[in-house]
Amino acid sequence: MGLPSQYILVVEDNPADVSLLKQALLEHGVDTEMVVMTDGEKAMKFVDRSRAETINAPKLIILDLNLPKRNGREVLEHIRAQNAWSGVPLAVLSSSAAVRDREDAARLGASQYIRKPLDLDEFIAIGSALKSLLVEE
Amino acid sequence: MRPASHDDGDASLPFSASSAGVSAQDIVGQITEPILLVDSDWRVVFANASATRLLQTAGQVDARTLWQHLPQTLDRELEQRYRHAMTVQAPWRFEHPFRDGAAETWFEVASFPSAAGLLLHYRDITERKRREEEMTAFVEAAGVGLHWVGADGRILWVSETELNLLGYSRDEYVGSNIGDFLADAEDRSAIIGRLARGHGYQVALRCKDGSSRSVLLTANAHGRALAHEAHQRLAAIVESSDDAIVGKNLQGTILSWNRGAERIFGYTASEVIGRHVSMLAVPERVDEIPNILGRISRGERVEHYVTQRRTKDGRVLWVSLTVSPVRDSTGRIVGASKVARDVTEAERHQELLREMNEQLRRANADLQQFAFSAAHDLQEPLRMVSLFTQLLQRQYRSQFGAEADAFMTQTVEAAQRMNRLLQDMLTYTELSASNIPAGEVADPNAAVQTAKANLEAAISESGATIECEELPLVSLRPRDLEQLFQNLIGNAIKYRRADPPLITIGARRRGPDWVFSVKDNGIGIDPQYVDQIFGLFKRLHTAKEYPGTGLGLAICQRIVERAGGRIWVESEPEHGSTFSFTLPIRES
Repeated sequence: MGLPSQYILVVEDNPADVSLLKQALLEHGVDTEMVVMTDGEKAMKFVDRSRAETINAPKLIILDLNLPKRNGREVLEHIRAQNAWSGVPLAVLSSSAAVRDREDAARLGASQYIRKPLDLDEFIAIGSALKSLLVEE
Repeated sequence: MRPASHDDGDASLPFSASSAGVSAQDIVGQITEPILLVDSDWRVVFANASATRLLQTAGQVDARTLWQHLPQTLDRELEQRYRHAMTVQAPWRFEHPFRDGAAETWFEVASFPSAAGLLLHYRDITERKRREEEMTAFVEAAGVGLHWVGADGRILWVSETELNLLGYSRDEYVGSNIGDFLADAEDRSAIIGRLARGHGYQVALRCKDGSSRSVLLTANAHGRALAHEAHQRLAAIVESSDDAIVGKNLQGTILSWNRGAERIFGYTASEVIGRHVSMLAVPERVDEIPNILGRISRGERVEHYVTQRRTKDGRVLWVSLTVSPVRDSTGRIVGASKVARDVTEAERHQELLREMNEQLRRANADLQQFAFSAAHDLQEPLRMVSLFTQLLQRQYRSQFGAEADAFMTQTVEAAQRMNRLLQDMLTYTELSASNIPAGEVADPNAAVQTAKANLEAAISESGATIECEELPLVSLRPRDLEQLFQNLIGNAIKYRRADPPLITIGARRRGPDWVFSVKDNGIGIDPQYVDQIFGLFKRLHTAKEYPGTGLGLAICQRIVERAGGRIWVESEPEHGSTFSFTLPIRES
């Protein structure tokens, strides 16, 4: 699989959220390509491959918590165990309002916890938060 | 030791009497009970046949003293009793236990001083003593509060149960006057009067901790009556008891068997006395018996031990056993008194109750999990409905026209209402009783601040003033306390009248609790609904008048109740409501 030199890794099983994310980033002037993993297992394998083949680290990781096969927590731990990716900003994007999920994400090394909103304007505004993570990097 | 009386029929025999040409010695010789005459130097000058056997001398009684005849039984205390009988110059009575190997025979000695010395008449009271000991053991085993007092009100004996009940030590109690322990001082003279007449009755006694308890008083005019009446009273208790009361020796041989035992196990006394108690055991529990007897011989008590026993007709019963050691007068453990209560029915109900409880718990947990999963999983499609309706609105507004635009706005609003409902359902189910957190401390002052910050928009829009006293720390998960205040303050703002809301928050002590209150000047609540409003999905207004999920107060109630508190409202329609809740004061 040919990878773009610069990319955002999106681990998200809901294609609707992926397309909304793309739009939110575009509206904030970010057109970096997205590499999408649709379940936790694929995401973890991708991380393993990057270790073996020295793939470029992503510019940003956007991670859903509620994923098929392996959950977002496991994926997050796996990513943070990959030293070459240690500086990559990671945003957890979840529909969960549970305080425990927020605390777990922070503890496991997420840069930011973003709740998936119901309101379109709020969703588009996520693009701004993600952009600032990219810029900081 | 107490005076004997001459009119005591069977016991008295004036030594000097002689009538119809029959010598006193002939008469005395016929009497089967031991009779002895000692001179003032304690030399035995006469013994009838029975007394000779008692003195264990093969042939004639020789001129040795009583002390020399009875070296093995006479201890210092007993010798004192004999000496007292000699000096008292009046008929006297005392007890003398004879030990022959393991067997012990108790005699009551009636003494009659005469010119020649002292006449001693021995009466075998072993059976009476044994029953008294058994009765005493029964009183302890049955957990009866009981004491014996003399005619003057002095406490002579008390059961362990009564000491435990009242909280005194034996030394604090025995020897004191019962009058000092009466809960009602006015009873005192009436009670002493009744005691003097030998009546017993129920009375309230003062415990060491100041409370009072009801206890059975057994009264006795003098020593003889004491033993007798106590014996009869206890025998009546034993006989009429619904419990099986069984006496046995340390080898496990059954010695006594009351009517309760007959009723429960189906055997008559004659069928079981002399047999081993293992006849009552079920095969798989036969090992318990040596174990219980072992504990008894070490002086332990077995209390409320629930086990199975078999009846005569082969039924297996659940019984609760209390077994106590029976001691002889020297304190040696010689057997056991067992009280068995048939708890088959109770045990069956318990078992059923446990099963049903477990089923209920599982059903409840399933339901809880179902509600949580449903609420959780409904969020995602709902979010999509909301977001894509808004996308339609945004990108195709010009092609739809005003009416279609309004429909889409309503769709989005409905999705948002449903989302709030799902959020509240998640909060509510997450507060299920199964995961009560412990050991967390919350600061209500901080919780009120957080709640105010979360409600900032509503506060500034309504112009609400919130006054909050300094509030005490409580044992609760901090975010639960925030949620509690947020819901209550949120309601106080939502259900306001035309003028700006004024909300006062305070706390005061009441007994073991803090009572927190959130008072408003809002629209109030019709009194007929004050109990309903904490119910699930209970609403008094349409969503259009006052938006809400009908879960806010149910969540408050759950938070408070699982912390061991209570929540309620007092309200005056058109003037305002005060929501109050209690939380236990933290132990410092």
